[in-house]
Amino acid sequence: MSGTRTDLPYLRSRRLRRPADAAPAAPAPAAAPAPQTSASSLDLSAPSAPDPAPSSSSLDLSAPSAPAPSSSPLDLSAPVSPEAPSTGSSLDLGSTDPAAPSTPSGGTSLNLFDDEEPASSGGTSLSLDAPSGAPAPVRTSPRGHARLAEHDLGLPSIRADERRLMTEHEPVVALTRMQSAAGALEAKVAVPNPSEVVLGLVFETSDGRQSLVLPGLSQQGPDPRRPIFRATSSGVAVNLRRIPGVHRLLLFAVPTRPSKQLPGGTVTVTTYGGSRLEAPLVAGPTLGAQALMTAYVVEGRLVIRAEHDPYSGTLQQICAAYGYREISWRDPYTPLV
Amino acid sequence: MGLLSRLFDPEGSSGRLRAQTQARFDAVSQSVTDPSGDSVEALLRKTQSLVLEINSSAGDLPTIGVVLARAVTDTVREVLTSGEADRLDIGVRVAINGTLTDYLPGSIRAYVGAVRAAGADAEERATDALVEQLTTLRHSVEQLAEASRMRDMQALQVHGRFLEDKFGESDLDL
Repeated sequence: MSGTRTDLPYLRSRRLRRPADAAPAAPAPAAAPAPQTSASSLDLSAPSAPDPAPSSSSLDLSAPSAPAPSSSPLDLSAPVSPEAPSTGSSLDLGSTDPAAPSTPSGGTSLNLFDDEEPASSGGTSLSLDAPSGAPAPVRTSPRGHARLAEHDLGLPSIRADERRLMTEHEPVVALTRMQSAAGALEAKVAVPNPSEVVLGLVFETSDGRQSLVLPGLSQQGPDPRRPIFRATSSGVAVNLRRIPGVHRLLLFAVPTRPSKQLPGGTVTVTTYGGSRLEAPLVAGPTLGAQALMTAYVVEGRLVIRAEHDPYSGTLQQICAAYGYREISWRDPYTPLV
Repeated sequence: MGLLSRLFDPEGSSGRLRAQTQARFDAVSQSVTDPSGDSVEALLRKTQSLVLEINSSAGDLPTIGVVLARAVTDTVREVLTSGEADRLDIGVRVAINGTLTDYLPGSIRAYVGAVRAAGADAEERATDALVEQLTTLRHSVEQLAEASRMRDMQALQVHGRFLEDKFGESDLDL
């Protein structure tokens, strides 16, 4: 394969070590991710816990010094720790993708791991806290090519266990990649009478499909067999393990009273790490739906914004106002899903 | 008859006419003194409509484009709602007006047009160009916001000196 690359001796030596590392990874039962997503540095199948229950101790939320990261697939220092069971998994572009082991991008990324990424910073990459230092050096887009530049969005972040009120002056929070990829994002509404309002999500997946979930109409989407979004009468949830499949989404509230009066209260969005975003739910008459928050996936990071939208509308108008135009409608309040 | 109607309706229809004329004159003179509508209220309205435009074209934009464009409008809003907003100097207001009505919508529309014309192949390059333009815009409005914050700080210091002069110990006291 890379036998033709005789001009790069360090790569050859790199490859010689590779199979030795990857060989013990093969029988490891639980942590081996799906091979088709192994080229992505944002591999969401990588957190090896099959469900995001807090009992899974591999994702330490607050203590970067915990030894847990050494066994994690996202650990950037993995190539130098031979005992790691999933060394060859998520960030390893060279050895686990059998289709492209000798491409130049594989070569550069291996070079980056060896030369530029210090082993000590690998421990913080699993933290669900706000960013603590250097970002991950190599990422790949869902289409598989390496993106070298990381855009600094310059937006406020949030620490684990922090509460943040999303006011009109600070309406936006950018989650880190780890926060955007672990567990679930859950939105709930706190009102005096919970039966007066339901939450729904309209979303666009990364392959361009638009749909929505709303309790009583379509509980799970986009594919009911492998749902990313769930809507129940108590709130909505986004399965963040499948964040590469998400492009953007909009959280909206639908009043259930015939008067379409929206009760006042608070909308809370919680992440797996215990961060909680709160936005006010303003009481008042609506035309059928009220947009609350938007979220955009930017290079693997979720950027959540409380919209504080002064306008309400029918569900169809709300969706159109936020650019979700590829949904068919039975009537202005009922999508055809 | 004319006398009676004038007695009971001293202003009459001529009064209403005069009021209408006055209102029209006010509107015209307002538009003459403020041709581009760069008063703070007008700029806030333009911010709102730009936000609507960004949101509604979010389906055609890359997500980073939406996020950066909304960051620009956030910063503009911050400048326009700061304490000294009613004393923003004309240069700042013209710059904000240009950003809201020309530069930022221009970038967005040009991107949408470019992708529509050149197809998905050009999307990557167009996204890079859009990100670059929006980053530049954001830096420039960040500088405006920084100047606005400095102005707030100066206003606070000036007020502090005023209070000191008024209520502090006078130098002339013996």
